[in-house]
Amino acid sequence: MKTQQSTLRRMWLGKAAIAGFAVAALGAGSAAGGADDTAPPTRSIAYVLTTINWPIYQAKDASGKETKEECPNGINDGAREQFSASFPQKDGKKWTIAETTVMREAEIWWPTVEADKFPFREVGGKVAIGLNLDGKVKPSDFTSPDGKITGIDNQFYRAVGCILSYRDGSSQNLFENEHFEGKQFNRILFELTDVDSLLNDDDVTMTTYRGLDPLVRDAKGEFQADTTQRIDTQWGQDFIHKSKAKIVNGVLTTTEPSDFVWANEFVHQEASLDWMRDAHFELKLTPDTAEGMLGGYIDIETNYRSLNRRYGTHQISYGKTAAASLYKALRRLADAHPDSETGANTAISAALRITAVQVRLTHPKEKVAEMEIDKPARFAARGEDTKIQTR
Amino acid sequence: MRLFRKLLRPRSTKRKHTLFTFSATLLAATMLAGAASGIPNLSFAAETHSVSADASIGMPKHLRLLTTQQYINTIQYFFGPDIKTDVKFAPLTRTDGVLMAGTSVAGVSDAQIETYQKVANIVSNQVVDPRRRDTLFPCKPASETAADNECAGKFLNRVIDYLYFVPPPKEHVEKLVAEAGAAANRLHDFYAGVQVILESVLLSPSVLLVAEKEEPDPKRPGHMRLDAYSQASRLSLFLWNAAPDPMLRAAAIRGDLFSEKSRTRIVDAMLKSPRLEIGVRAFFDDMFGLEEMEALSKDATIYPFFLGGVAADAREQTLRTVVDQLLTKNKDYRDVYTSRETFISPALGVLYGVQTAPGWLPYEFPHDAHRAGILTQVSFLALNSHATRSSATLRGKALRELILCQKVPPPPANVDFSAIENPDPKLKTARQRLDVHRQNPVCAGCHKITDPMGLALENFDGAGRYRLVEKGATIDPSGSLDGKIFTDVDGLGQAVHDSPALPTCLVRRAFSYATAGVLPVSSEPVLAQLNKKFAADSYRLRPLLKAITLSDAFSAVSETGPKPVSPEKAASILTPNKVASNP
Repeated sequence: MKTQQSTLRRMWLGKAAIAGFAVAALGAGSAAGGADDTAPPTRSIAYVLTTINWPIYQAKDASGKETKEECPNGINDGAREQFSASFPQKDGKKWTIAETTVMREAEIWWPTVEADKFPFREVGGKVAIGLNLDGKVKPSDFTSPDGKITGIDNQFYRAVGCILSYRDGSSQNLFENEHFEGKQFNRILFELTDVDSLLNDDDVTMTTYRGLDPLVRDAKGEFQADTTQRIDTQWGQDFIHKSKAKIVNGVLTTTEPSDFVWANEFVHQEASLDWMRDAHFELKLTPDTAEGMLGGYIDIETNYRSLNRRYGTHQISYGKTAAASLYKALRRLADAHPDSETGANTAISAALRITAVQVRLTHPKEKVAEMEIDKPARFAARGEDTKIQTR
Repeated sequence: MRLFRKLLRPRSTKRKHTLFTFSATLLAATMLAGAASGIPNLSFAAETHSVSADASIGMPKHLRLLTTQQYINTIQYFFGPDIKTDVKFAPLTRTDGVLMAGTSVAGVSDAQIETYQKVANIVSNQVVDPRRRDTLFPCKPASETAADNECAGKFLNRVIDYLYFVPPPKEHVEKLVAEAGAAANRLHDFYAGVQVILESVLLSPSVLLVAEKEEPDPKRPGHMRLDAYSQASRLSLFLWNAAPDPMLRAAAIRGDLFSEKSRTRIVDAMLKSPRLEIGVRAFFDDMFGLEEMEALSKDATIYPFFLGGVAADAREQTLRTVVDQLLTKNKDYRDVYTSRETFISPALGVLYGVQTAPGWLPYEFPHDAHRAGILTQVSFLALNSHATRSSATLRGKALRELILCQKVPPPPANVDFSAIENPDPKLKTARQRLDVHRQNPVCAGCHKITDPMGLALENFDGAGRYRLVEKGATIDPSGSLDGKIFTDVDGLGQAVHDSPALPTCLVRRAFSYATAGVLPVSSEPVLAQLNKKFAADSYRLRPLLKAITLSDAFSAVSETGPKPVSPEKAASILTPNKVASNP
């Protein structure tokens, strides 16, 4: 078994070097005829996510210093600044708890789309990281930093790009990376099956799962590949989604949209979910790692509840996130999945950057197909009150 | 202090093998606890006896120091497995192939005595802890704030009866009870008073040392044998790796160990006990040198997957495999070197490249995995490698010395290691580098002994992970063992399995371990009979343990060890009724 895995890695290294020539000579997707020697044992390979982040483009000058040109109006005020502005301590005015704290909490937990009392600073630039989800180039779309990808759909970035906690070095990346690794509920897996080649295969199947086992770091501090993950079928059915994909020159691209659900267990085990609809993956694969981009439409209600459930007041405040204002922005910029009754969009285009390492997957006795019935519908039905039990 | 040393030091300067030098620290600690004057029964360690005129059987008696695990096992068996000890005594010297033989030549430093006192304090505090006292004390004091000599006496009598290898005089216990009472009154706490005395008991030489005592053997006039308590201790330390339990002590007091029938019944019961697994694990841990796994580390840049848990689990894997094969499945000892059956943990899964699940799972490697036998397990492979690379020489040496009981001479002082440590880059594989190294005639002799079998393990890197190539060159795992040629590691396993030295080495190590001493050359006839018996029992472990423990050689005392005897004479040592019946 180990021999096969080692052989796979060795063959992949050799083949990767000539992949470009092979693709050029045979045409993309030419490996459909049969397995090559980069095919994983049993024609399947699985990975566990090690990081998941919102990619936030931040303009820099030639010296590497941030210019913040994507935020022409500056960085947004947060909850603390809004509180001070709303309830000034002058003229001997005595504020009650109900007038201040309770009122603010009500605004956060029962948000509206009414006009914001505070100015919200959206991203004003034309550059963003992400994927062109609809194949169109619209006025609201972005272009990639290198200019190669146009029509990038990432209105989520427009909403959060000028909020401190979402930017590089802020609490968002720091805490969420730490807890994504450390909290057991956050184990997200994906498996590729029917793989005849890790370099070129025009028809593979991708299935996402929640895993049950911890991430392991090796003695160098890197995430350890080749550990074992068990699939959670008891509490993890909302995470199981299947889609078709192809591999071209070592890059996996899903060819049909699917839901992608991931977990956000945070500091005090406030487990919550995030839900990306119509997700597309673009991942560079090796026998040991996978990394790349994920684009789709974030369900706003799920994302907003998740944010408020997992972040404490101090984290929100230090990251200058004004939740109620963000909600209004997300709803204002939403660009997909209109509500059947109101017609208002309920999802917003977004991108995620992910990294993963290869794992051995232990399937449950149940067949995946049996567990897949009505998954998106059930998740949507549970909505914000979904109780997640951690294990 | 002089008194104390006098008690501990052998009177005869001719008997240097049991020279212990306890320091004033222990004396002070013991006196502080009010028990110094009561140290009993150690003077027998110094008693001298004339060597029997016919020392054809028997081993020297010893003053043995308890190993860390024996101490822990003893404490936890009596007070409960939840008693945390977190202690590590000073390392022992491997003597004649086993650490256990080092227990009878150990010294005790001041630092070690501090360790004993620390653990005694930790244990005694846990025993009197309010969460445990109701369970561990056979009575409740009339008042918790004052002495209750009756209750303290019940408790201390029970403890001493179990922990002391030899029952102390009644006055000794009475003195300890009185001291506990005095301490309780001073501290206004019954349990604190008992705790002070319990601490002194736990670091007492009567608990930490096994002083084997001899007596004339009435069945063989002119010969000496271990007395009943010494036999009980030797049996229990060998089979259970702990002090004798109340059943065995009671048997010793009744004299059952001197009756052939009763002794057989007792040994059978011990061999059927779940505690046998503890003893067998301790023995193989010792024989395979697995204690060195505790300090094993690998270069993180080369073997980043070799995390701390890997070494501990690799050691556990080997012990689980041995217990499963030899006790649970009652298999031929030689199969341990060819069996593909083992156990896997998550920490080992990455190294072996197999699917795992939390905890330990039984696992059988596929036929083509080249993982058959404990020589292909990470414990053997990683332990007998360098931090940065594998070592055919170290592996071959370990196989020769640990498994086959053959001595490999140390390298000469002027050996040139440059071909190995700073090799020509063109030399990709260990075989190529060793070929160059062996061109030096100074080196060639020993490497011919180790390398032909060590090179068969070159498909495993320095951490024990399987590989087909080294630096891009295909590895040739062929080799030979004592004239038997093989093409890969599976062949090596079979050659070891078939080696006549394999079972005889186990017998030698087991007997040396059982008697905690170096085997003199003149013990060969005894070993020869045990070897015959082992073969007749299809190399099953339990019958071998039974044969050893029922043999006269196990319990007879000969100050200088057996004299050379003829095989015919040796045959009579192991009388058929003592070795023929299997459990």
